Amino acid sequence: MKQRILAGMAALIVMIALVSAAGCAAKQRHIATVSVVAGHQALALIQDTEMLLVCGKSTAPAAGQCVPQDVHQNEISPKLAAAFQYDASIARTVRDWPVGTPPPATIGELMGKINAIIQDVLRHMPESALKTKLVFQLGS
Amino acid sequence: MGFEGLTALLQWIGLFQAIASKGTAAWTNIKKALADNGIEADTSALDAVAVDADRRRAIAEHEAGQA
Repeated sequence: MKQRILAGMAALIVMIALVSAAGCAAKQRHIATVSVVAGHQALALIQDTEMLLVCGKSTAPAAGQCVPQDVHQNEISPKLAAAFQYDASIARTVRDWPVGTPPPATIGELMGKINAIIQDVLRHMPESALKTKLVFQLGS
Repeated sequence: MGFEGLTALLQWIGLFQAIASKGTAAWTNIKKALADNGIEADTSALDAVAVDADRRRAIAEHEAGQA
């Protein structure tokens, strides 16, 4: 009887080796992906809103609150073009980032450039209800 | 424990080891599949961002009169 109990206990010992999670290495890349997507959405929102604010358009607010055409053409649009170029570069860099390797240094650099452009573009936009809404949405 | 009992015990241990190893391999495959699917989803999202960023850059360049 005792031998049968010992045999049963030995048979019930199941050794399960816990393999370190295969997904841990992908978490960094996923976090970076979420940041890239959120950053792109913010840039897109800024571009779409600014287009509505250009003076002379039916959606533009009154003079003084709308974005002058020359500012739109010579200041804001070139900056946004550069920002989206960085944006696409970041997206492709993260996409090509091998899982399990350290994050590429260029990601942080490009994100810093984009943030600087965003601040610059917002400074060029006169105060208006639409700009206030934009700033609120960017902050939330 | 007699010889027959020891043999039976070893057979049971071997059986459970086989089950455990297959279970471990299956669990590893499941976790890898989940990670791979997550990586593929992220890759698709990043591709979509890149395409849209290119499109919006073209719009901005047009607005700037650079196109």
